Amino acid sequence: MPTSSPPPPGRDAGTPDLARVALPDLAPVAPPEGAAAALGAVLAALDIDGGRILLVGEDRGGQVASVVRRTGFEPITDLPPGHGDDASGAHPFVAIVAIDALASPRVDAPRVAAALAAGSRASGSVPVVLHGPVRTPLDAAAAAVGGGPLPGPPTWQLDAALTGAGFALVAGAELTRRAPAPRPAVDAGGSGSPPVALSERWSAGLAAAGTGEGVLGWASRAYRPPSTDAPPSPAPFLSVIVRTQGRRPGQLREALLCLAAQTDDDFELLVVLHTAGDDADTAAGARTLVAAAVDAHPTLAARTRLLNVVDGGRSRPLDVGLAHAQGRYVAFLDDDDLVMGDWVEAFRAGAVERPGAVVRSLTARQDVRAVTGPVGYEPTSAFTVPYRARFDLADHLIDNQSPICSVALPRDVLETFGLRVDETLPVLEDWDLLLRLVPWCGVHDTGIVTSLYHVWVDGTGSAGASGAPVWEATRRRILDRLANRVVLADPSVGADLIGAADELESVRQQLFLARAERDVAMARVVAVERSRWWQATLPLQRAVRLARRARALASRLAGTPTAH
Amino acid sequence: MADGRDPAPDLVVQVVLYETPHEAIRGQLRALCLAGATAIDAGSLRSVRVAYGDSSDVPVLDAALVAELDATARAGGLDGADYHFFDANLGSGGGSNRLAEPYDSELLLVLNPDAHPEPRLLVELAGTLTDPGVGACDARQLPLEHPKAHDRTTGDASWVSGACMALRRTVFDQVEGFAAEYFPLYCDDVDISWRIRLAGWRVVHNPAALVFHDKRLSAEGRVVASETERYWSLYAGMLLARRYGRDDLMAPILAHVEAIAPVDDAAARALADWRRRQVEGTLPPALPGAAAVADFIAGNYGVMRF
Repeated sequence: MPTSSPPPPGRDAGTPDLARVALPDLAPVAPPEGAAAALGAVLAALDIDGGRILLVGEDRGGQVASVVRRTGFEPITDLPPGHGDDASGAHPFVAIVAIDALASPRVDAPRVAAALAAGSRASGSVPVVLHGPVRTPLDAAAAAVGGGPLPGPPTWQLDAALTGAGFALVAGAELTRRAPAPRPAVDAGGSGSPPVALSERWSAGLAAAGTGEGVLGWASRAYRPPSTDAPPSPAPFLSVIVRTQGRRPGQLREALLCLAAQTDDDFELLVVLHTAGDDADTAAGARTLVAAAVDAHPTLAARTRLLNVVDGGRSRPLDVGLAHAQGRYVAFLDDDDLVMGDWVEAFRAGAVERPGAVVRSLTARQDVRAVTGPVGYEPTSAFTVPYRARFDLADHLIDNQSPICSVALPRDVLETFGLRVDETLPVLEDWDLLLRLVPWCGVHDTGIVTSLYHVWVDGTGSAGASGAPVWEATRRRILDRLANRVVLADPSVGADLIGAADELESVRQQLFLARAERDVAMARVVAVERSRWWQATLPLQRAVRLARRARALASRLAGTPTAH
Repeated sequence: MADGRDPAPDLVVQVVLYETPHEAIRGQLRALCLAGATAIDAGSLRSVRVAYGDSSDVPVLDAALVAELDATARAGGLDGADYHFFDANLGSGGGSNRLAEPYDSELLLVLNPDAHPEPRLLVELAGTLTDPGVGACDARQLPLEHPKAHDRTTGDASWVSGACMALRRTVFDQVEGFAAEYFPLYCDDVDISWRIRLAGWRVVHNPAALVFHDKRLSAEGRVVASETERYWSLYAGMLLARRYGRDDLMAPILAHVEAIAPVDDAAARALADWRRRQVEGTLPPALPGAAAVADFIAGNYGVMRF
């Protein structure tokens, strides 16, 4: 046995014993279908060949232990005596899985994180995996109105505590099942409705500013321990969340090339692979392809996390990516869109000019269609910039003028108000998030084109796959929800709305005048037609009309144009 | 080789600098190292060397930075990086010609300083040049794909882009390199491509070869072009029509340039320089038989896809 074995956890001053950390006493919740797959995928991503894994927390029914065994490890639940290297010199375990640490507000996140970090160190710096149910924080925004401290979701607290201790999130897999969250109904305040206290309306509105629905899900997240005692690096400026299904490896390769060529590389990359509905072989193949595409760029791979989402709709990967983001700003990129070399640089310049605001650049559009061959698509149109140069909230209430790749969102504002991507939306989820976020922080326009949005004119993209009725129904749903929400607005947003109101009033006046002129003209026509002179000359008028038609016919037959 | 196959060729990458920022040079070299090492590992190339030529008024690189770049290239699996200060603005074509002189690699890659290779770029381009009939090839540029057309099966194109163009050295020598005296900056790639085809070789676009080319769009969606680029675009258009025996096009092109010259400085300069060459008798002579390879179509060189 080495004479200088690291001290066991719990014996450092102020560090609680790993074995005595009370993990939350959650009501027993059976893991949904797929939770085992999520944990299995994360354990596989750790790239460890066998060994013992320490399970911390209550493994109800031995389900976690079962997954651990299936992935080639031996689960243990008790710390070996001395909690150091064993007689053979081997570390007692190769990873720690903390069960149920993610969801309960009762979790003392810093304390749990400190214990896990100490346990990791004591066992030769092993990875830590968090596994269990998660809940999105609808109460965070309501608490903000009450003026109290933001409770913050335990997920983020634990994540922050672990990363603050130098751990790096290396892999994550999540799945969701929905449970309606208790939320007060928002009354429109029409006649006959009972009066609703303003504070309640605010709370309801703020709660609706969140995802709008409770989300109960399951997550597994793996963290690699710090390799040295160096302080953790500061958060990057930007978290780039790339959404992919792994079905367009060629396009993903192109998007990654554009990211590798950025003039400002102060960003982390979260590639979120969405394999919901895929069979095991297809999903595994997609993981291999995506991992290879990332690994092809070592300078990118060093700051890339690959997350695998195994359930949910097309909005879910964005929400999962958002939950894992650590940058000060967040930007989304679909794998079939491309960015210019100054995409990140322009976002940063905007954030410097107006800190805390949404930063919006312009996006060019190019139509493409799918083709066979190594590329998989081809452009069919030149570049256009059909979107408004300046952000205007009133415009955005009609339709989205800011494609998903054109904006960078301030993460602290998103977190403060519990704003997440609404995973129930089949399309337009980015528009919805933007509409909910902008009132809090406003928008800074860079005015320059920094991305290229591909529109699949052959119906093979998301628009074609979802169909126009789905888009319209989702649009109505988003606007209806917005209409029932209390909106607090950044001053620039207020100015936009006042401008829109002025413009609307001006249009109304022009319409009124036009209608009045039309009515006057119609009255004149009627007056003329009813006059004695008009009635008396009717036979002559008919004769003139007949003569004109005869002359026109003769001209056509003669092949000569008729003068008009 | 023991297995009877030809040994993999060696490659010199030519990068002509003009007041290029150091970080752009470093970033490109890191990407080149990755692409070079990938191609060498794959057996597509035997070795890769980077040659920088500097057309700036003042040297862009000092000795320390040259040493750093050379060390980076060697550490990245390349043969090294060299630096040549021209002490004159030779333009891109003239710079490439000068850079070709001290090297005798079997393949050349002409690469813009604002181009960022994808890791498999050199594998793909070297693969295209294994076809004995192909004299030069180019890559697909991102994010703004070039609209020029190519045969979807064979890759055959009217011309290949000098932003990222791979050539056989023998072909480069056969056509005597770029015609820098006529096309120092713009359309030098169209001209050399057509002369390569005139010499009986094919020029081919490989869409699987990717290169990031740092072009920008205006707020109206047009590729941003400097006045210098616009000048050369107009001037080179007239020169190409004459050089490739399309006298029928000279009148409409001249009429167009004359029409816009009063309100367009670039057009006015192009027109003045054209007339000066007329007076001096220095306009390019028509190449015999060249009209057969010159594709002037709807105001473009070759068919455009969009």
